[in-house]
Amino acid sequence: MAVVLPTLALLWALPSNAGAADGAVAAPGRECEIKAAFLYNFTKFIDWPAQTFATADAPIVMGVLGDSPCVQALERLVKDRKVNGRTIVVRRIASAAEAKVTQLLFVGSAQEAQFAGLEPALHSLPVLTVGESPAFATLGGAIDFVPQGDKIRFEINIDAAEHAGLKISAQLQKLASVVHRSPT
Amino acid sequence: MHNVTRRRLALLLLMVWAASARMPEASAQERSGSRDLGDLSIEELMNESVTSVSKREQKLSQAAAALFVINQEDIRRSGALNIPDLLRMVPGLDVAQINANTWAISARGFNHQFSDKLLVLIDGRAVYTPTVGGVNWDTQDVPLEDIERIEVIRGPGATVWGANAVNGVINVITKQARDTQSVLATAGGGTQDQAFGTAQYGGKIGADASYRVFTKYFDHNDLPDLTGRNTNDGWHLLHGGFRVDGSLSGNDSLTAQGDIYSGSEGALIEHIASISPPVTESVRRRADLSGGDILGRWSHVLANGSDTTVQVYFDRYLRLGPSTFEARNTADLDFQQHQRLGPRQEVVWGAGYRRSADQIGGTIDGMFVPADRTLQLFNAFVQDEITLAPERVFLTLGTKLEHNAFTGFELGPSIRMSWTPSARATVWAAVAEAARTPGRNEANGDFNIAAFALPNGAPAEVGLVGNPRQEAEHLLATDLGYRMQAGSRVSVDLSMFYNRYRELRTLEPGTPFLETGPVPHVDIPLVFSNRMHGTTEGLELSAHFKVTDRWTLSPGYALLHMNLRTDPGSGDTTTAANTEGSNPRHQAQLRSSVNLPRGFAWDTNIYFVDRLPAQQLPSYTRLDMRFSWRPVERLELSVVGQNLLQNLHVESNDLVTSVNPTQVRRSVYAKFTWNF
Repeated sequence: MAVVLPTLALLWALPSNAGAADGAVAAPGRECEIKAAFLYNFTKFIDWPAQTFATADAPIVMGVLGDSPCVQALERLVKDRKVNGRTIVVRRIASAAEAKVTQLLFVGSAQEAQFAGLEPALHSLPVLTVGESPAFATLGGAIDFVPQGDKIRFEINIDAAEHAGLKISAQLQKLASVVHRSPT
Repeated sequence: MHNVTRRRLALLLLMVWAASARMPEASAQERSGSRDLGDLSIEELMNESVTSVSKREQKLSQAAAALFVINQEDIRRSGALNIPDLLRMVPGLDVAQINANTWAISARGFNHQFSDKLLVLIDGRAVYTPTVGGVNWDTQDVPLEDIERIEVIRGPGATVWGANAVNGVINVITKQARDTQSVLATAGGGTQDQAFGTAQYGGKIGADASYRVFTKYFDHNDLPDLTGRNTNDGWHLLHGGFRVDGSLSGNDSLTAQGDIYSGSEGALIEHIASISPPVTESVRRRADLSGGDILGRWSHVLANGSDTTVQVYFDRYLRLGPSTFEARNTADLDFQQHQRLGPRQEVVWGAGYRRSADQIGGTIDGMFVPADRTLQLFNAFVQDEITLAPERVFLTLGTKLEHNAFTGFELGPSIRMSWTPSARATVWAAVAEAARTPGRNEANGDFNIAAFALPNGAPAEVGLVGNPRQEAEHLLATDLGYRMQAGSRVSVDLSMFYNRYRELRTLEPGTPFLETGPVPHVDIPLVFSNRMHGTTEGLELSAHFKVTDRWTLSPGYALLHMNLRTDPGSGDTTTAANTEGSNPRHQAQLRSSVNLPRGFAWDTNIYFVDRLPAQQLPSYTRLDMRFSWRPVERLELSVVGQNLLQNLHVESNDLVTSVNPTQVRRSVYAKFTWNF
């Protein structure tokens, strides 16, 4: 036990120092972190039309509509990451004009009303819209996060994606819980 | 003194109505602080729990028990192909391979092939056998890709754990069927693990149910004994299984799962070839293994958040050899209810019944009297988790009551407390009592272990004889622990324990008598008894350092000191020293995980195990290394080297078993995993 007490004392002293150095980081929403990782992963499975990017190394622009709490989680996650040689930038989006120049637009459930307002402006532009409520699909969104128990799954609205000129890989479609396709 | 403590504990428990929350459910994301979600694939993200950090992980970090969680990522990157090798990463567990198909695994001391103080569960099914109170690790085969996590608790664990949870609990939890919705194919081969593979298909039944079916096979090469001679201890096992999970409504979920397996293995065992003249020799024997199990579980969640679970399973196994022929059929029924009582109390209570019937055919080396026996086990428990200060201080009181066929009623009260002064640290302490009930071997065994000539030339034989009045071994465990998270890169978990045992098993020399058959000889019986007591103390330390975004280091250390004494009147002069000297005093490990660009990964695991003086084994260091490449999401190729430092080393020279030890050999294998 002679070993035990000094060890404990040492460990006891640690967190206060570490805490001070680290600063108070508010616990980020786990859900946001997972969704951010999904968004990043989605970009690997989407083919944007050739003319979407000005240059071969132009960044992928991810927009987050309004005041979503997930912005920081997404910024942290995409930092230093590349997809097909492209860096990723995250922008907060407030208007239709800003939304138009993104490649992916994330719409929090609280921002749906706002999205409904600018959706017509995005019509047939190559912007992958991702939401997080069942209502989002009816608003013309392409991918929708759906909670399943304590896990996050997603559905794909393939018509909306095709309408936007986006190709969603078969592999991603296979992983979706549901792929909505209007009967033709 | 013990009795006073015990009575006081029991009284306190009875005065407080009830029991408390079940062992907090550990989450696979225990170390999510040090894991980068961006490195996960979509399939993996789909299996991440949203609640793990906010609710459940919080609970995990506050658990008042020495808990270690092995998650799927740890499993994949360990390079292990079986559960015993996986368990090496848990500080405080001693994993010693005896021969190619036999392991001795224990927590906090008392390790031997029939380590009898561990409760091992696979998806709620207890897999230790009452024949010896230990686990036949050779047949505990699970497709490693299907494991969601393995929770290991050192110490008696919480009240909700059933019989045999004395020194530890190992809980293997497989993924829900909806999380394995793909075709999985793995295959590989190497120098020791000559050929192995798994094929699995996951699908849906309607909108609300999913299933998977798998088949798995491996063939493992022989190892040499201490003199270098081949022992024919190679083995192979073919295993098929399924799992179905469905929801009847939003509130009811059903699980059904089952396994069936068949295989064969060899061993070199000690065998008395002749009593007069006395000849003890090592002989090669083969054993045929087969068995299966089927389990059903129904859970119902009420709107107020309380839930009820009913589980039933049947398990059958046959072990034909190496020294006995055994068939065992077990049926088990468990009921558990969990509910909130007011804002501050969470109560879990439950009851269970297990019926285990065996037929054990003897050989000249050993037998059981009676040969057939049906054991019944009843248990009930109640536990109450009381929130003394919301999110900060929790008190858990509980007790279990068990009735077994050998020793009647046994009580297992416990008090646990945890204090979380800040979001970054938790201190916990626990006092618990536990009883380890005898196995069939201790009550009914009759084993011949040695033949020799007395000084006057008369032939004699030493026999190990069961004691129908064998008592339970009792433990009073005191635990203290500390966990902390320093920023997002460092976490440390320390636990310390002081265990006080009484009525430990001894072998008492009985009165020699003249036996007339098969040839006249003097029979010297060693009779099982309970005349040892003592203490063990030690600590376990594990940590995770995320050195860079691509590199994680996980060191671990365990210290164990055992101090055992026989009671006055005991004639057993060897068990205390042999037990103390068969457990490593120091164990240390370092695991390193490096994610390289372009889908490459490099993992290194080093384990140090101290010498075992009673077994005359020096310390050894084991190095395993794994190199993997994921060219695309669905495919992984890996090359694994195990025991790289030495061509041959001995991990156990088990004094209890008749199985001769073999040397573990350096080995290499290659494997591919394809998920589509």
